[in-house]
Amino acid sequence: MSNLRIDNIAPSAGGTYTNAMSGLAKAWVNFNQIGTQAIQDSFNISSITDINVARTTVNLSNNMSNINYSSVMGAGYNSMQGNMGQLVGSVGMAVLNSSASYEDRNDSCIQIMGDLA
Amino acid sequence: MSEIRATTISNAAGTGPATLTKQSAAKVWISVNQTGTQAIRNSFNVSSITDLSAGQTVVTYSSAMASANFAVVVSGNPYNFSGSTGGAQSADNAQAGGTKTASRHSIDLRNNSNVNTDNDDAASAVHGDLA
Repeated sequence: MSNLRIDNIAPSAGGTYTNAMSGLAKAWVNFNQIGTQAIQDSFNISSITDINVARTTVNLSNNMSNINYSSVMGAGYNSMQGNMGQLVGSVGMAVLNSSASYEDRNDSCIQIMGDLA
Repeated sequence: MSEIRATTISNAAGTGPATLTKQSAAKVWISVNQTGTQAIRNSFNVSSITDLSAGQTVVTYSSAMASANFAVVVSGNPYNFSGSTGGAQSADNAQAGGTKTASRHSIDLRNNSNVNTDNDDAASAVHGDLA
């Protein structure tokens, strides 16, 4: 196995250098809230916790450096998603249906950008 | 500071992507103007978009994901939702032609009256493993 440690990368033809770390997701998850909530695929996620109907806490394997990271969400058809609050080691997600009532959805997803601790 | 200039970075065998320690690169991202004739504003690993209906766009990938269990997030310009400060957003459209597969997902944007509404900055990103 070969490893590289770098700070910036750029196209071979030239152009602007990009920080090799800042634009990469530090965690992402796809989980199904319907029935027994279950992770379908993930990166840097240790577990999920079923808080209540359509409300889930997503726990990170490696903490973020502070709570000011970016978390973006998406979920199944005809829903809206909200952030219930984030800590360095977890983020809460709520899903509402078109009547603004909590309703479980499949393909509930979160992407986290920021700096790891 | 260390710098590398390269066109392609692959794994040691040259047959797949390099593993990124404690981080994950987006495999697809896109910004779409849904108003009028839908058009890609900017994108990565997107071969085409299909205008399903108002506020609805199918995004088809150039290189497919390994499965349909990838993570996809969406957002839209809140000022496009008339009379509201935000709208419902859905990343997985169950309508015919919009079902999420390993090679596509759809963006579904609605206003707070649950009416599909075109958005001039409908954005989405996909995370997971490529096939």
